[in-house]
Amino acid sequence: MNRFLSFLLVLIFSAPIVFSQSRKERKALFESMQNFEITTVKVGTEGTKFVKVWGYGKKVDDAIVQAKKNAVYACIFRGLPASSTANATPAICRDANAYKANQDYFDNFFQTAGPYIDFVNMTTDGVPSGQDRLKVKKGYKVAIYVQVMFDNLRKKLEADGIVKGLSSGF
Amino acid sequence: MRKHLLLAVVLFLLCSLNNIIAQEKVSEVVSDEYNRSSISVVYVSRGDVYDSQLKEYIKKNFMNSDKVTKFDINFIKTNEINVNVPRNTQLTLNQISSNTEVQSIGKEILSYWFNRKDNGEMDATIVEKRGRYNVTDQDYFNAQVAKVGLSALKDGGYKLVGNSYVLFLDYSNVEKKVDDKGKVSWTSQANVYVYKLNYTDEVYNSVMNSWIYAEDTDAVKQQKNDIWNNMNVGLNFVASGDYSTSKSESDGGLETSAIESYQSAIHVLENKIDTWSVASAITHVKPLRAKIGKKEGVKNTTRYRAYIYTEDENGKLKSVPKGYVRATKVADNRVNASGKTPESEFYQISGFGISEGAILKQKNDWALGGGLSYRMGSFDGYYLNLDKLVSIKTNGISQYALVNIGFNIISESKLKDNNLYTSTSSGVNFINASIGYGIGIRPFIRYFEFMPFVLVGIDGINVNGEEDDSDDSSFSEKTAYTGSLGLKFNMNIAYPLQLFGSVDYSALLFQGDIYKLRNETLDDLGRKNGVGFNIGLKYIF
Repeated sequence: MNRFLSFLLVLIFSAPIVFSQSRKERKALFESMQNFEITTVKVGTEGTKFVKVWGYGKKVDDAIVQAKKNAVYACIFRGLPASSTANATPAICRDANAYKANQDYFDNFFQTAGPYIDFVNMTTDGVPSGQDRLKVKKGYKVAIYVQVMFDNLRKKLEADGIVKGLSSGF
Repeated sequence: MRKHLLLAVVLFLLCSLNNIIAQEKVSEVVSDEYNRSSISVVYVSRGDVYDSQLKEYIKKNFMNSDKVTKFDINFIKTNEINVNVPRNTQLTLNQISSNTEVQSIGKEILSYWFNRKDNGEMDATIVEKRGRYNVTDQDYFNAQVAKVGLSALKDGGYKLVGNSYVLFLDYSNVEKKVDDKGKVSWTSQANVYVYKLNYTDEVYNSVMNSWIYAEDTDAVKQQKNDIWNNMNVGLNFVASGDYSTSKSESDGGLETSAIESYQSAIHVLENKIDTWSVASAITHVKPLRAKIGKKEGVKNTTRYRAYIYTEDENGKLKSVPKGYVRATKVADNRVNASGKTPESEFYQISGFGISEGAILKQKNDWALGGGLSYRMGSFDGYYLNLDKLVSIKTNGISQYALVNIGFNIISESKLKDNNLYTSTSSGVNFINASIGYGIGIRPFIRYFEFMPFVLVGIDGINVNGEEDDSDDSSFSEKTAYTGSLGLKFNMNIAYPLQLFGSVDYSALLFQGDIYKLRNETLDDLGRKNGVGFNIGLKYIF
């Protein structure tokens, strides 16, 4: 009986530790700027990229904001994958440490309603729906269709001295 | 006591039925995609006198693109196959599949899609027109920001070729009945066997390689014609559905029966064939709205089930049902989408709060409630209660057609206890049948519906073993006309199972002489004007 009680107590006291770890993991999952999926839908109009991008958030609106940030982030740091109708696009910043090297600039750039918003247009009809709107533990995962003003984004980063101009190498 | 036990058993069986259905959990992820399908209706000729009439009805009603809005129609040369089996015998699938006339249908469908002429030249007019018509607002917005632009929207038509179906329509058990008064009625059973075009990549490539252009040389034309001629395009069986209806000559007779039985069979098949089941997202709430309408065959009272999607920690996708809705205000969206598609309105009839972004998936039902109840007070007894939803508004106000059939028995012993026993009588039974109209109102919550109603009907008293029952007394002498005015409620227990009850005032409006005599003899055990209460369980079919 005593052994059973001890086991029960251990179980009760260890539960918060186990769950807090999973909470931390989930928090990290939500907040990670690198943990998202993005696909190129079609070749965009001149100077733009047309992508479908996923975002996480506690509410649908938060997830949409995150997805927009993700789209711009991908264009700057990750590049865009190829699809059946479009070639892959390399990242604007080729330097893997570019974010860390310009931490203050990018923290400001990606703050909600920050400068990034000028380079992204959501083209989803209404709100994300169906399989593009997933209820996940403690939040939502949504996919939105987005047009990124790729050329304008590059020019902005060049003007701000974050990346070198395409002509600078010649 | 035995009566109550019987009712309890019936109610238990109804509950069990509901549980069995509820246990049919959504194991597969419900698709949120919907694309238009196209059909060709091929009449199965049985080689009898009804063939010419039935073929005419099909041509007029089911191969008429003005009347069929949900499906595009592929007009093909083979519009009839011969299966010489007596009409009272059910066909087997093999009798259709092995029919030599069926073999050419696949290629005929492709010929129609690609407008193939006798010289082998083709064009994409139909493909592109249908592709553009199938476009949603989301496709339109996507095209606006893509380099290929809006002109590429019509290309979606190429994938719609794969959604081509052939409906082999057979009528069995066609019967003409003439009653004692000379009234003629017709019964027909529509059996629809659905096959899908086997449109593989290989077939697609063959079609593209056999595409003859006017400027092709004769040698190239010959080569392309050979590819076309050697191409095999099969049909795969998908599902079958049947339905039988009877109509009097005054209601349209065989034609109406044939049309209604076909439409009802399609109604059944829409639940069996997933690509035929319309899916669309909720765009707004209060009221619920979605961008579907007449183009998708939406009608007032059509039922849809709402789903949301969840993803677990392992990335496994799941569709979770959130309730049922019915279409109320149907939008006429029979135009090419350009970002402003009109929306139909819906009313939620069960389940939990539905938010924007949830998917509506078509789940046809007959909107017919069938219930069993016990009635206390005046006109007491056991009742079969049927209600058919006729229409529903966005605010939930509904119209119902009502039918009640009641039955009660007074046993010999009970008669004896009341000093009513006669040597010729072994008990008395009451039969009541009434029809009526009700208006459903949901004033507070969607789970609970009030329904003021009015009923008129007839009531009969039969004395078991009494010779009068088989004599020549007229029907009106042995019956009474009744009327009821009351208030009913329906409450969802686990939709489509409902608890229902009513309170009403029922009265004998007119009593036939024999009825009156029997009723007076029965004294307190007879029918009396007054208030009655009903309680029972109902299942929505």
